[in-house]
Order: sequence, then C-alpha cells, then structure tokens
Amino acid sequence: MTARSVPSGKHRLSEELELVRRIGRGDAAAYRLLVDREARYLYGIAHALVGNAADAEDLVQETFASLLNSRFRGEASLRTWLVRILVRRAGMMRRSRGRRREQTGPWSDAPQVPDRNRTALDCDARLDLTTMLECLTPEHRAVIVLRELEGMSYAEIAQTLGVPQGTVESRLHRAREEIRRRFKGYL
Amino acid sequence: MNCTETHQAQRYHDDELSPIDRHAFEAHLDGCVECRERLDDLRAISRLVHDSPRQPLPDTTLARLRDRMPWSEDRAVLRLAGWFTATAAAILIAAVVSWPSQPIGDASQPLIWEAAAATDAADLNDSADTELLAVAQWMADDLAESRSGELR
Repeated sequence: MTARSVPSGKHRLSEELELVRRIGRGDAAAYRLLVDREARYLYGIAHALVGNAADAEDLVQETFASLLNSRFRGEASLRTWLVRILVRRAGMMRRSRGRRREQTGPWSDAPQVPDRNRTALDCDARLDLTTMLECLTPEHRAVIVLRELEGMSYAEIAQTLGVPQGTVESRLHRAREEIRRRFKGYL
Repeated sequence: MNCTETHQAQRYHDDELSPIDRHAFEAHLDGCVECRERLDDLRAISRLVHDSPRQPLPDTTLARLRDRMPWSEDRAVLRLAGWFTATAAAILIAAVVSWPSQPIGDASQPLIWEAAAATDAADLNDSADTELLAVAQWMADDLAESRSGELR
C-alpha cells in the first residue's frame, strides 16, 4: 500500500483520532495505514538521531508500538506526537546502550570527530540529515529535530525533553553554531 | 560581536518574542548589520537542516514494520511471561517438596518427611499433641511463677 495524501484541519484530527482508536482495538489494516503514512518520515529522523539503520528501525518499531500504551488526544498532529515519542525513546535507548557498553558511534555523548579528509566541503554527496547531525551531541540533535523539522516552540521542546526552557534555548544556540561552523560552505 | 541584541535574533527567528518585543527588534534590525547577518545565518541553517535529504526507508524495513503488529508482540510477551511463571512455580514446588530439613550430608538419619511417611498417622498426631501439651504446661508454670513473684 502506498502512502496516501493526509487530510488537513479538523477532518484530519478526527481521522487521526479514529485511526489511533482502531489501532488500539487491534485493527491490522489501520496499523498498516499508519505505517505506510509515517514510517518513511519517522525513519529519516530516527536515522539522523541514532546514526545507523538497525537502531533506527528498532526506534520506529518501538514508536509505533507505544501507540498501544499512550493516549493520543489530538493536541498536536499525530506525526508530531509520534516524533515526540521517537525523540524520547531515542534518549532512553542511548542511555540504556551507554550503560551496557562503551560506544564510539553517534550514540556517545560526545559528538563525532570528523575524519580529517571528510570535511563538510568534501562530502557534498553525503550531506544528508544523518551526516549533518553526526557532528552534534545527542541532546543537540534532539532540539534541532524538534525545532527545525517539527517547528515546536521552546515550551513544547522543553516539555518533550523534560528540561527547562532556557536549556532548550542554549542547546539550540550551540547546535546551530556548530552546524554553522562545520557547514558554512553550504550556507 | 558588539551588538547586545544579537541574542534576540534567535528568539525572533524562532517566533518566540512577544508582539511588542518583536516589533522593537524589527526596528533595531533596520540599523544593525550584525543582527541582520545573524538572522541571515539562522535562516540559512534552518533551510539547510530542513532541506537536507533523509535516509530513505528500505522496502524490506517497511515490510517488516508493516508485518510486526505491536499487539502480537504483546501476546508474545504475555506468552513468555506465562511460561516464566509456570517454570518458577514448578521450581518452587519442587524445592518445597525436596527441601532437606536436616543436613544433607547426614545420610544415616532419615529425612523428616521420610520418617513421617514411615510413621503411623496416629503416632504422629500423638507425638505432636504431647509436645504441644508440654509447651503449654511450661508456659503456664512460667506465668504462675512470675505472678507469685510480683505478689510477693
């Protein structure tokens, strides 16, 4: 099944609420419809957050699975609601992995140190979202995703991540400075 | 960076200023090259992030996501939990039944349950009653002795 066009406004809200209700009742067709609609978008963000395909898939799967335990009331769009869950789960996944083993990948708290031969200007073809966010800490990646891709306010980001609003603002500032410094050739 | 208002540029860009502050900052922008440049940078960064391509979702991954129903995983977890509970119960019952009531190394003495099994039920009741009576008598004597001591 291919992704269908998403309705807008009040109709969209009631349609999304109904979709979630059907999924809660165990409706497989409703679940597949949601996956077809949102999986590509969520996967792109998940991959940018965790930096590899296997964890991105797990993250998307867990995000869809959390539909059964969470209560979607339609305050935000279903997509935004799913992204919030995904970002929170990415943080949980990173912390649990961090406890289990030392990591040098994008899961580590420190940002990736780029290869000397792989500066931003050298890798035009590879400058996708994952590559760009690789240079940031996980906390900075999260605020960039929520602000730049989801258009959330500082208050909404603060609520999603469970940090003060001032922290959101300073993380955003630092994250953007880092992107500007590393990718100034693209700006 | 000399302008003291550049910190407002991010809030302006993110639409986080009140209408009054927004208006004031726009007036400031007219005369401040530094803030205009900062704002241009912020807009360029947002555009770069927003427009950057995402990792495509492989078809095989999409197929797996479509087929992996969350509630079927719930059922699997419940099945697993049921299996663990049954195993734990079996281990517990086995442990209770075979728990030695005296040192394992003392093979010359029969275990209590073995002795009980070999003893006549009436004998068992008799011996238990006698033991209970002895304890009750001892407690009564002790109580009477302490009372008489208090009275004296």
